[in-house]
Amino acid sequence: MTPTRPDNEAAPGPAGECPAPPRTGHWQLCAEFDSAEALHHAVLQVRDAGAREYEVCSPVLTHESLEAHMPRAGSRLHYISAFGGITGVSVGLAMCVLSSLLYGLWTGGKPPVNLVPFVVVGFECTILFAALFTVAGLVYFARLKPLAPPPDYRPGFSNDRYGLYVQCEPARKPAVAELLRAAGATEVIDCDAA
Amino acid sequence: MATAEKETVIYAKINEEVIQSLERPTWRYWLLIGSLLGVIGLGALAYFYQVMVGMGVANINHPVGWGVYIVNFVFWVGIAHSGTLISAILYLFRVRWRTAIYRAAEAMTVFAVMTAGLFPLIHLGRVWVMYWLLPYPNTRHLWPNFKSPLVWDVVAVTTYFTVSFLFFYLGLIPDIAAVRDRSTGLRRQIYGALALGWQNRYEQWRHYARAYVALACLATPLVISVHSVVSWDFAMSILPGWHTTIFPPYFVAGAIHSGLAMVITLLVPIRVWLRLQRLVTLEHFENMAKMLIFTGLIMTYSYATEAFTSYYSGNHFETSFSTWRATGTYAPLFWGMVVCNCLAPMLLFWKRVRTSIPWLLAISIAINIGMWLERFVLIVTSTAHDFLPSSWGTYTPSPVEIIITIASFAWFAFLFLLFAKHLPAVAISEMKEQVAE
Amino acid sequence: MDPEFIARWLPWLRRILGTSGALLGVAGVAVLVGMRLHPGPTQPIPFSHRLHAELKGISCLFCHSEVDRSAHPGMPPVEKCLLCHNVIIPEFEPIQVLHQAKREGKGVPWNRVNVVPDFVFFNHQIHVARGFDCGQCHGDIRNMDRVKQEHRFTMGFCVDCHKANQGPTNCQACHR
Ligand code: HEC
Ligand code: HEC
Ligand code: HEC
Ligand code: HEC
Ligand code: HEC
Repeated sequence: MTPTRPDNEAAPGPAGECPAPPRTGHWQLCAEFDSAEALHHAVLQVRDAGAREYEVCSPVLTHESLEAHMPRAGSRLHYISAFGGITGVSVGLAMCVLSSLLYGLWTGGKPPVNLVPFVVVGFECTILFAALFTVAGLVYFARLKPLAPPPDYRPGFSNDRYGLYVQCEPARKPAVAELLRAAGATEVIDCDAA
Repeated sequence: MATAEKETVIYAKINEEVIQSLERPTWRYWLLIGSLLGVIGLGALAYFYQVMVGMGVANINHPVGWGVYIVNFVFWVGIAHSGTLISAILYLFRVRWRTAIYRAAEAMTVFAVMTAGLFPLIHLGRVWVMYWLLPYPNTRHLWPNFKSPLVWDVVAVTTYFTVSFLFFYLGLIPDIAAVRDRSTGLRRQIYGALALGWQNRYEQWRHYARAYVALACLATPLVISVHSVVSWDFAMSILPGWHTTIFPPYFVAGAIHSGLAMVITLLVPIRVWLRLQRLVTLEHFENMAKMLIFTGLIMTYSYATEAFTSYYSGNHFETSFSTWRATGTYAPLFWGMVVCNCLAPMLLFWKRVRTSIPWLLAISIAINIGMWLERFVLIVTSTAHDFLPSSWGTYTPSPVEIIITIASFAWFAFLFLLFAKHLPAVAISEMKEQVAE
Repeated sequence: MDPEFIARWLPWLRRILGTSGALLGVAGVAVLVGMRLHPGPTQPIPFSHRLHAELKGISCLFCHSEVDRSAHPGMPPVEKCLLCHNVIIPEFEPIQVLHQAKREGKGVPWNRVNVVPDFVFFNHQIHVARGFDCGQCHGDIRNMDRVKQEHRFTMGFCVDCHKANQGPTNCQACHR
């Protein structure tokens, strides 16, 4: 196969986390596949052809074996969860301690600041904040918003189809489309026309 | 390639099967919704009557200050627990049979907490100042007493509701997107907004997977903590029958016992109604029945331990109280609870019984009744029979309390019905994932 | 929901929210200012503390004679007013009301200004005995023609002083 470069820029570095994925509407071609294997195969082809930006759609959680071949892998979301948890425990305990100090009374036979009962509140706040931060982080990272998906989205991707979006120079579109078809795409769509 | 073909074909089938359950409902559905709304309306009327006239219309008074309202609160919070158990704990343990039923169980959690959360408010004499429970600077310069189990309860139940709702919704996002992609018009716009623009993209999935695991890990300790906190409402007091360290584990086990029974009670009719028999199979019921045997045995053990500790304590109040509970005014309820919670689940040891849907339904309903009785017996008897014979008394719920209790069941059923008809009741994308594995 | 739909309605949503927010703010400020400026409840007789307590220098205890001895400060009986007003401006119309009350054997139905709810226990005696000035709680009565409540007797108001002056802060002290 002739090496086709979907975009003109330098060859990609190793797969790693880069700060922000390109926004939607950046894709030139979208290929549909009817099996995970075909998709996997096509991803390898596109990558070997030197594509820097490509994106996969899948009706199920994408398989780990695919991650190694994608421009970005993994997620840093758990740091946000952990940060939320730490914030939560601090807020919870601080709320208890400070508010008890504000009216320093002995209640239930316990001095105003008594850590044992506050552990319960601290614990619950940890969970609450961690969960809220996680979801907020997801909304941010996965760019969730209550809008319709972009026009180049294919409804089959939530049913039984896999998809591969590729970024390429307009001039090279036919060549890349050919490559995708050769890799087993059942359909190749021009995103700019969608 | 041949197997891969098969895989995506199964995907399409699962998609089809679940989404067909969301088709336009029949008149029977509307009739059911209407009658449930009627019962809820009746409950609302009873409640407004209580607000206008005062707490006197409920029979809670000295010495029994915690009546059916608190019983219902504890009962419904308990129901919630097994939903989280199935959706979070079994997920982390990678139990495969969880996938088909977890969505319904999770919905049950959310709605049960929504039902439970009403009762502390119904129990308040002056609901209009319920915001005093929140920590905010006020003219009284007073803050909630964070050393009080009642305030822990507020924190715990709020957290539980928020986390289980977020978890429920998170799981729903890809499935709502699947429904969106198969619908048109206004329906598409609504599901589209609810799906938060989900596109099944890798860039979304990789964060989604992390978020899901994180929330499962966060929800897991809640299964144990929330009902422990609820049990402290009682265990932190000094009343005989309440003041024991066995309460937290005992409450958690009871919660899961009742919750599993409720899942079965709900799934039996739902799966026939929505024609989900191929996805939710007898195997799922059998597995839940096995868990019921387990929790039933824990309950039996807890009851025995409770009786034993009170006898062994040598404390006169404790022993005489336990004797009274088993032989006094409320003895029929006590023994009813033992039969329903300990003996009925033992029938499930027979494979014939646990693979028969009618038997399962009967037993799960019995357990539901038994667990409600347990909460009643626990809460009412201790206050009715405390240290001073001069302050002993009894309690029977008033009509207002009974109507509100019945309405709470209708409210729960109403929410669950709405969910089952308008949201995918089986986790589509996770079912597919299981096929892929 | 399509973006166009949102784009169409968002400005309206903003306008509605903005207007109602502004209206609410203005209303709130108006209520606060009104409460501040409100001259206090009207009384059946336009009795002036400025005149009696400030200009004529009558001691508070002359009229509110139980304030250092009882939970209730006591309102002056009609006879006490008439000690002077039998001779001072007896024909003045409001003073006629006093005479009328005296003839009928009734008191003057003064409207209450300072109240704490009845679930709160308050006793003047201990506060006056500790030497707190009436003004600390009632404001500058000496310069009021018509008495108005200077401080809202919120729990915070009482508790703040109790914390600063070693007063009791346990709930049973005030909520018995
Ligand atoms: C120690 C004597 C004294 C007592 C007691 C007293 N007053 Fe007076 N009062 C006066 C004097 C002096 C004036 C001023 C008369 C004048 O304007 O010439 C006055 C004026 C008034 C006026 C007219 C005020 C005005 O704005 O013109 C009223 C009304 C009045 N008093 C009501 C009362 C009432 C009610 C009481 C009983 C609670 C009372 N007074 C008790 C001495 C007294
Ligand atoms: C001449 C008698 C007289 C004297 C002296 C007097 N008062 Fe009064 N006070 C009254 C009368 C009569 C009322 C009821 C009418 C009113 O509220 O204006 C009253 C009302 C009050 C009230 C409001 C009671 C309520 O309803 O809450 C306060 C507070 C008060 N006085 C404080 C004082 C203080 C402080 C002083 C001393 C600076 C003082 N008074 C001196 C006669 C007197
Ligand atoms: C610590 C704060 C405080 C101080 C100091 C204080 N008061 Fe009061 N006063 C109150 C409160 C609170 C009330 C309302 C009591 C109630 O509703 O029972 C009140 C009510 C009154 C009333 C109306 C009582 C009635 O029954 O209508 C009078 C008159 C009064 N005060 C006079 C005085 C005088 C005179 C002094 C100074 C000697 C004084 N007060 C000092 C807090 C105070
Ligand atoms: C200006 C300061 C101050 C304010 C304002 C004040 N108090 Fe006090 N109060 C005190 C002090 C100081 C004591 C302690 C007196 C002592 O023990 O000698 C006290 C004591 C008391 C007591 C105990 C009396 C007893 O018999 O045991 C009560 C009740 C009380 N205050 C109620 C109130 C209420 C209600 C308010 C608000 C309406 C209030 N106080 C406002 C200073 C204040
Ligand atoms: C110094 C006196 C004082 C003490 C001490 C005090 N309170 Fe109060 N409290 C009041 C007063 C005065 C009010 C009325 C406030 C109002 O009307 O805005 C009140 C109102 C309240 C209310 C609102 C009741 C209602 O229905 O409006 C609550 C609740 C309350 N207190 C609880 C407490 C608790 C709990 C404590 C002990 C930690 C406490 N208070 C200690 C003076 C006190």
